[in-house]
Amino acid sequence: MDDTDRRLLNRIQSDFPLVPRPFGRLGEELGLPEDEVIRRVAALCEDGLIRRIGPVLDPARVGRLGALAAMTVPAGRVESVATTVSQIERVTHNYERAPIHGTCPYNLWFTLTAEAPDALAATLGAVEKATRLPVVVLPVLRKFKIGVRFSFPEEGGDG
Amino acid sequence: MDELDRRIISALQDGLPIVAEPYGEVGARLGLTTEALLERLRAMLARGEVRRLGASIAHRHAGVVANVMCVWRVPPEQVEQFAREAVRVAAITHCYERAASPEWPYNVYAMIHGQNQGDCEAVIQELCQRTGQHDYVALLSTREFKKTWTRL
Repeated sequence: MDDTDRRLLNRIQSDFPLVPRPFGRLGEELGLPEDEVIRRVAALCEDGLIRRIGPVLDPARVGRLGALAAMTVPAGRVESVATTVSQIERVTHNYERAPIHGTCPYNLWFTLTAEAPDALAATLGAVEKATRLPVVVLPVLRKFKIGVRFSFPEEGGDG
Repeated sequence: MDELDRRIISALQDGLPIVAEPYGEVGARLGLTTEALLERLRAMLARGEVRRLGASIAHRHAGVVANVMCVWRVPPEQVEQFAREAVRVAAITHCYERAASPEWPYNVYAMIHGQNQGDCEAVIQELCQRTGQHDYVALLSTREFKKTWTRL
């Protein structure tokens, strides 16, 4: 990855151009030929650095409810319980976490979205039944910040 | 969001093709002109159904390997002030207030990304200093089992 890649990555995480030739437009902005932009973006996708370029939905506005759930999984079962959880299509994130400060009863944390409260409850119920472990739900009261954007330091720029 | 919007989102769910005219290619699959597809996408962005259109980055591949979910126990009347500080920190990507319970009395959640654990700890320390809130648990992700996006 070179400085041009980093400039590209900083540019394309949002406001991807809504024009017939978006890579050409990006090239105009960044001073690169269209085919070079396409080649670089394709390589970044190939390398796995870009997972995809597409629409990121707001679950609440497309009729989805979101939830964060936590479980206390015995050490020897984390792998198998996590696999069960990940297999559910509605689950979007699933992490094992350990405290580096303080103490916490939960070690498996996952997020899921569902189209209605009963579907959410049914999914969590299915996890409990399949794993024979309780699931704790942590409902959102307020969202203060949502939006993952990474800043790639550009050597040539002023930050 | 109507049936056509849903078909468009489904068609784009795994990403735009990396070709000179990606909207033309996707539009052709859906029987839409490029301009009709672009118009639909603009409308979904304007309505907020699409939060952003762009590249999703694999943190781990980008050297951003540490992710800490830090939870604070903040008195309800001080949550807003805490959040005002938290949202200004670039390393904090998400900040939510969630319901607390007797078993788990923490109510403010912040996701912190960094190149290593030390980076994340520095962010936490700074936020503690700035807000005066020191009752927290920091949870480092030790294994990522799934990370994907909301699908229709």
